[in-house]
Amino acid sequence: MTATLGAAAPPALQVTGLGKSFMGVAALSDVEFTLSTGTVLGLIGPNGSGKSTALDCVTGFVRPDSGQILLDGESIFGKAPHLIARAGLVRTFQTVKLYDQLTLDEHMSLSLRGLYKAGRSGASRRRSAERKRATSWLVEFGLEQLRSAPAGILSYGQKKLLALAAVLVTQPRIALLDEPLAGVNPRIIDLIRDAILQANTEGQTFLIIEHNVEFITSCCSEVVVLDAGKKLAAGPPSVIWDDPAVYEAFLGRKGDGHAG
Amino acid sequence: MTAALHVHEPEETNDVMSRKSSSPLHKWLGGRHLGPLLPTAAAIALVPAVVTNDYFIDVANLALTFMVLGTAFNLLYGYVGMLSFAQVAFVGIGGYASSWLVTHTDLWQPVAFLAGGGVAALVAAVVGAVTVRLSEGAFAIITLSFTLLCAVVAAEWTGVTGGRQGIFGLPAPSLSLGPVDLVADTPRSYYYLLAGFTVLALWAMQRLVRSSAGTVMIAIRDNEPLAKAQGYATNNYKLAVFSFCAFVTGLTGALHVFRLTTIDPSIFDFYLMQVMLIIVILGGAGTFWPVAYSAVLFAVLPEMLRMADEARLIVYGALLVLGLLFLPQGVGGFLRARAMNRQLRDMRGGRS
Ligand SMILES: Nc1ncnc2c1ncn2[C@@H]1O[C@H](COP(=O)(O)OP(=O)(O)O)[C@@H](O)[C@H]1O
Ligand SMILES: [Mg+2]
Repeated sequence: MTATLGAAAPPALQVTGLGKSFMGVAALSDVEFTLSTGTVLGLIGPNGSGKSTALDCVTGFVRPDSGQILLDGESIFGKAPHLIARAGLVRTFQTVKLYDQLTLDEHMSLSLRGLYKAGRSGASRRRSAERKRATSWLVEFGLEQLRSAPAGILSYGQKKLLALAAVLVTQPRIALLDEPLAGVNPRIIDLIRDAILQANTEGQTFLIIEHNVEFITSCCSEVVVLDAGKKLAAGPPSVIWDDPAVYEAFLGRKGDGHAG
Repeated sequence: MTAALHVHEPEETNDVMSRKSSSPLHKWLGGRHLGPLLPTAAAIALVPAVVTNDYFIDVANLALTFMVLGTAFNLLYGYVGMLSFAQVAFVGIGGYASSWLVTHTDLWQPVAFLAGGGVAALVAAVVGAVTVRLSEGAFAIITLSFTLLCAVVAAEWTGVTGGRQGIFGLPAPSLSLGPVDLVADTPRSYYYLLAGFTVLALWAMQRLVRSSAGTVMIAIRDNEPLAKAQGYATNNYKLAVFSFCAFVTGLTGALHVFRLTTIDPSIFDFYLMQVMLIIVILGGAGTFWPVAYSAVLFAVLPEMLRMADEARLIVYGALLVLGLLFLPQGVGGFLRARAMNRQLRDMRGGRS
């Protein structure tokens, strides 16, 4: 029974033929990738290669021109962002987004309240478990003493930590992170990597856009490389770096100043 | 720490201390978030006992009207971040709808007033359905155009609005239920009517902003894409708040024009809009009570200074510019930042 079940289960996220152009300029064309439950998929490529646009298309923030997007076998193509979020695709943004005047606690509870499906059984027990999880992420990120402070006073690194914590605490079907390590110091890089690895060990599925080669190599089970809106290569990180086309795409544009 | 801290109302974080005295009634009214509502209601109730001159009672009537109008605009602009120039249109729509109903139908007066708010809310729902999804700037421009359109319609649709003369000789609001026979035909009796309405409206609006939906409203103002990414149907929230505020504003408009006993197209003038803007911006957009008190100030001040309309236009304009330059968060924002700075200092001090 388990064998047939395993074979029949559709991938967590399956994207095929994804296309998007802005005012006639193609930002994405015929992009495809598959994300299996419990894995970490890395989406890499030079700046402007369409990574963020792909994430925006998948999460409904940008309406794709063409393609198919299946979450657990069901199409979420063209749905509104808040519905896609409720369906389980929960994201961070490349430019960190927070509510400046709301406290850290309010961020965590807003995230939980908006994303958890209503009407589940055992509401009060669930809520106390959520509160515990929220606290433990804040403790892990060294933010618990600031929990009643407004997010506007946080440092850049703390803001990225809070944005990540607000996603992880909801234990979404898939967590999508747009450059979680960009612009933060090595200590916070370690915190974020450990958090992602820990959540993944507990079963969390990830799609992560990153430039940090060491992070990609150590955390991702699978990598998709975009270049100029097209899929250039895909495979395990160890194989990807040996691909001459990938090497050239990155080296050729090193001057653009992407981090890592 | 930066000097320009913009911080969410600090009293909400002290829930441990203020949890003690909570009867069921207290809880239903809004519990620990009741804040200055009761002292404010008491002060409003005391005014007729202290003020003997009917002229000043009429100024107080205007102050109550401004409190509700300013707070409703604050909910939109200060809490959800919607710069609605249609508020003055809803005052007019509520005023015209109730005036027409009272003068042309046999509808019971209290129902006609509520219908004034209802019509305003309905119109807001229609206008909002197309505009809340637009950018902040587009929303401001379309709501402004809508107000200008209302002024034209009011002047031209003579059959219903009475054209440029408007509708006049409106009867005083009255309520007779069996032996009870109340008529608001003097400034003083009108004050009791407005006072009751104002306290109720402030209570309802405060309940809203202190509820969990109120937190979502602030979230939408601070970062709408993030709110969407967290599963909130932000357009629905915006539409609901826009309609709710239109209801409150339309009802206030009805009470306003029956106090004046007349309505004409000048109700749509820029005057009321300017008053709401200055009340909210100088009071502190997104802070509840500072805005409510600032409304009182801007009702009383022009009367004290016996300002001519033209002078007021200029003085208010100058005040707005000065406020935006030196106190961009308004008085309320300044107080809130100071309270938060103190709290942060305590947090640091408490740790070491
Ligand atoms: N909203 C938009 N309007 C116009 N062009 C856009 C928009 N968003 C992205 N682009 C363009 O699409 C391309 C891909 O951008 P992006 O997805 O942000 O790249 P990446 O995240 O890989 O750095 C870029 O050329 C960018 O200028
Ligand atoms: Mg990007």
